[in-house]
Amino acid sequence: MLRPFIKPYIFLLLNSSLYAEGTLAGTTINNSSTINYLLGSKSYSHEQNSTTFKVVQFSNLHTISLTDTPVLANLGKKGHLPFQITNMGNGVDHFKLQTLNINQTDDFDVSFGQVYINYIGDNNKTMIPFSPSKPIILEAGASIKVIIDNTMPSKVALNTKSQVKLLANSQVLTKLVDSTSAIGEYEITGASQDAIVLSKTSEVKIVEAGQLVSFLIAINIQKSITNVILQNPIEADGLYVSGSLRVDGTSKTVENDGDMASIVNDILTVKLDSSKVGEIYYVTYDLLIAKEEIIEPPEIEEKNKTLK
Amino acid sequence: MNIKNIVLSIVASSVMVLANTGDSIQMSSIPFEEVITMTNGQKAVELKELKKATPGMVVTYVNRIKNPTNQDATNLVVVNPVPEHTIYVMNDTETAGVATEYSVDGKVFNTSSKVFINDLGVNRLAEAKEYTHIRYTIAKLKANSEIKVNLKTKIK
Repeated sequence: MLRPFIKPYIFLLLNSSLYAEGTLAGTTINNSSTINYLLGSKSYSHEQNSTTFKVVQFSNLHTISLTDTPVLANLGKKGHLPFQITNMGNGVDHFKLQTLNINQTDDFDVSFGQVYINYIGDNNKTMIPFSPSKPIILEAGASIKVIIDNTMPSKVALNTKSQVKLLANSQVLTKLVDSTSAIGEYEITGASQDAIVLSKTSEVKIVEAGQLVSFLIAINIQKSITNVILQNPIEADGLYVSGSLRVDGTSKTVENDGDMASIVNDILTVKLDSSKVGEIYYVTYDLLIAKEEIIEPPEIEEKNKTLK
Repeated sequence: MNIKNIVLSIVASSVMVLANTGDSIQMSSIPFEEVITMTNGQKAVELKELKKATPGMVVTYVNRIKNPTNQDATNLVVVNPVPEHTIYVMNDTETAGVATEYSVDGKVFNTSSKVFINDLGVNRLAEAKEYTHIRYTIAKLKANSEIKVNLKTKIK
């Protein structure tokens, strides 16, 4: 589902400040007080002039792999390693990406021509080729999705694994760590016995009541099939956030029949518009957590067959 | 904007301002940051000039109240709202001769064990981070003397 733009593009993401931490950079903090007293028998009252200072920016980028387990990819086909980078600092961050091929001698080496960026919730579904010469600009609280779209070797043993590390190096002067990174892993498979390979992840593992959590379900189509319907139980004690459902970045509403999505008895059902072999379809939605959450795997129904 | 310009624009600045009140009580407030030092294996907290203020940092305002007149001042009451974008941090060290009280609305002040907040219809003891105003009461400030009270805050 990667639809690259023709030319590289640097963009300022105007996303929510959901994950931003702390007072925004540049904020002025002002202190003043009043005093009343008696001097002799006379009463006085006045206000102390303000003392001010500004909050400076610090960088706090978080890079995570969106898959806990190896991404399965077929010999000679493309593999897709999804990552997410969130700016948890208090200002607009400027950072550069770097990929490291952990096993230098294998044939899985990634080049920058295979790195694409996007941000969660992009309506036009574009994945923009990353240009290493230009930093990415990310507003406080915003996230981007980074996908490494790497062609698998055609001549390696089945079950061969390879890891790729994605690093984000902030250019901001004050930072908690020099760089933040995550590792994604490929695993070469033969032709899968399953028509569909599913993975479901969230950006957090421990949640608190009142927290908003985004979930990502990747539907990897392995065989020629039609009429793919995702059935995903809404997590216990989680409240679906209206309007948050997206399929490949396109908003779907559960109220609109044309969107082919519904929630009945806390089961989120989404019918895919298409199901091309070798493609990965991404379904995302947000939940408001009432209390500590347990993440359950989704179910896929393909015609009359249900795969877990 | 290059990095140099960004640095220049974000460097924290602090100013000390004395209330110009002629022959009356003068107040000033200077923000400091806490720096932990080790001397002969002993840990100590020192107040240093605030240079870079970042979220989570503890900032202590040293409020200096000076009586430059030739007569004693009495019944001094200083009300210091907790600055916006900060929370109050309970200060373990109290200044002799200063009674400190707290408020969650700027109207009713009391000692920490008697400050309550209405939480969804239930009154409970307020936490320090919920205080909105601090009041310092000083019975007497002698002629040509000064006293300091610290307001400890943490940047949100």
